[in-house]
Amino acid sequence: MSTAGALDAQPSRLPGPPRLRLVAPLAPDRVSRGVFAVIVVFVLALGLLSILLVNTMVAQGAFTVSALRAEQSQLDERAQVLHEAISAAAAPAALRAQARRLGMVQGTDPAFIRVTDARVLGTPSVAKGGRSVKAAGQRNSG
Amino acid sequence: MDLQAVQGPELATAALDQRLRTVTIQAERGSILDASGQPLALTIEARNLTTDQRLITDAADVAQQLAPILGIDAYTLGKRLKGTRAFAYVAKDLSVQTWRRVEALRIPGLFSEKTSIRVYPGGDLAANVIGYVGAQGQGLGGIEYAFDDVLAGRAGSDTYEGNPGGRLIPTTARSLVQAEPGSSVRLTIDRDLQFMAQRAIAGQMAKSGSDSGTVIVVDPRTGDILALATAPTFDANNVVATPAALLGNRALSDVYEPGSTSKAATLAAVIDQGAASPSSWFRVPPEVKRGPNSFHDHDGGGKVSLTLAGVMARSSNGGTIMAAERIGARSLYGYLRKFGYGEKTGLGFPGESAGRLPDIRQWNTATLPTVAFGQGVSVNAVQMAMVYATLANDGLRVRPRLVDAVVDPQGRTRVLDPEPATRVVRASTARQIRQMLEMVVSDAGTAPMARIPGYRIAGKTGTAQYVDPSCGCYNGGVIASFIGMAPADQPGLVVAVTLVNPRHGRYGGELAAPVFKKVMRYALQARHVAPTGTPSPHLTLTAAGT
Repeated sequence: MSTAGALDAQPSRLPGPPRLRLVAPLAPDRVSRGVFAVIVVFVLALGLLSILLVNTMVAQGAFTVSALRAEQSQLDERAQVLHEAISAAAAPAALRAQARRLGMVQGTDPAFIRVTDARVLGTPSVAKGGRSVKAAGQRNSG
Repeated sequence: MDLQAVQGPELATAALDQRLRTVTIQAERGSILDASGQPLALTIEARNLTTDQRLITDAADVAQQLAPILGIDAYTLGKRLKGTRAFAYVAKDLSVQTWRRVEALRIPGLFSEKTSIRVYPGGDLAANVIGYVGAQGQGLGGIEYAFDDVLAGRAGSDTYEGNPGGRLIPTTARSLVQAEPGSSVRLTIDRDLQFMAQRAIAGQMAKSGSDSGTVIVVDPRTGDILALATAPTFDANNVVATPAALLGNRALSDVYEPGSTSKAATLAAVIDQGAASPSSWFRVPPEVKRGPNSFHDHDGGGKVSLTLAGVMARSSNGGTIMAAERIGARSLYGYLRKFGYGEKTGLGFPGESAGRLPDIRQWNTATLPTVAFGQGVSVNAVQMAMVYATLANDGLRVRPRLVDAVVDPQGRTRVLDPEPATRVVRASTARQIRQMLEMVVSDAGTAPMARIPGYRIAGKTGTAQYVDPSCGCYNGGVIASFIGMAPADQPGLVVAVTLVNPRHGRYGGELAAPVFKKVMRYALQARHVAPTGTPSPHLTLTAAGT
């Protein structure tokens, strides 16, 4: 029994495993949870905002594209109108009328000067109907 | 729950249908250009003015405001604006500028619809060549019709999910098929020359009181048709108001008996066969009897001695018959076929007629003498011009060309190759015929009015009996024509003129030759064809030596 008692007493004297004790949780942990929540909310908000922003930009882009398309088609229209005006003004009938107004007359029998031997080919003649030239000249001198 | 799970897919489809829009993208029609690339026909954007009548509060007032801009009277406009329809047309094919002016009025209930219109800057310039388009922009006549598949392009489509305003909803699916614009067609027509030719023939038609007239200008070396003028013509910008009879191209669709201009082909055959030369003599009686037929020739009793050149210069029917008999019917028929009689020109122009050369098996005793001087056969004006182009081109027949190239939207040009040339008569034959034709414009010939000082001109008059289409008979009317070339020794241009049924004047030499001169004179200058400076030969024509 003594042995048993000794045995019993012995362990108390022997160095046993360190006694476990409850330790209070670290104070900063409690703080970081609050921060974490804030961060999560912040990130969430940021994400939402950027999605909103991206969406807005896409929508804005659609509007810009639409506006630019409209502008492009207006410019195309304008170019077409101008092309048509040029074609109409350059049509032979219009050119002829303009030329007559400037006092120009149509040539008669064509004649050419051959550069190599300075020979006149054809029978040169004076173009007739130059009345309007004189009229223009008088206006200029007067 | 019911909405989500049970009706879900169905509703989603319905919603998609509501959002899904398909817009047709019209393909821009290609232009028709002249030889130098100037537009003769082009497509521009336009607007249709539409209305939602329910939004118009005071139709009369709106009509008053629109009338001066649209050029439509207020009463007519009022009727189009008043009512309860959600969609109605107020005016169609407005220019974009006109629509902008309407838009500036900011009248609720007025809308525009995009469309396009075909514009012809030259008005009636080459109208009978270009043709015209229908209300949907499809080609219905001329080049517009013949080259419709090239010009039209292919329409595209845009399918997308849109908001009620029609705008694309971002990030949704879209299927866009771009329209393929049509290619442009470049003609061989020189628009300045075309203009001059149209003016000249319209003027002479009016002056001579003719039913119609044509002028054709050809480059004989390439076959390029530089001008194809017909009178009367029409304003291509106002086809709706044009009688259908004016819309075609008479120079290709109308056939006529060529008469004396055809003698050049007959006598070319005679010379080419070695049966006669320009100086061979013929004793021509006033009347040539063949079987039951007799062919009246010249006035005055007794026989006249003419050389073959004289037969041509005097346009002797009897002499031509006697010369043609030296080679016989089969040979003459063969040459005429080679010259292109009775065969389409190959231009592929809608409504072209091939004319008529009776089959050799149908020839009787009267056929050879008749055909020899150009009656009993029929041709269109381009065919006849090409006979002279062949003689101008030293006997080598090139096919006429009216379309030079197709230009795709990227600007790549595909030139349409000419068909290979075929030999009709020897070069020496063609040269001799041209010398004989020079005598026609001499004082002793039938067309001194065709002369152009400084140039050697070769040509032939024709005053053919006109077959009245209403009775299919000769009724005293004629077709006056002149076909000629310059310079005669190196022809650079061929000009053919016809006038149908003139009332003032009758002969090709007096009516058609002056038109030839006017057009040829301009064409020589415009295309820089200088005189060759060589002297014309003098051929003996009659026994008196004139």
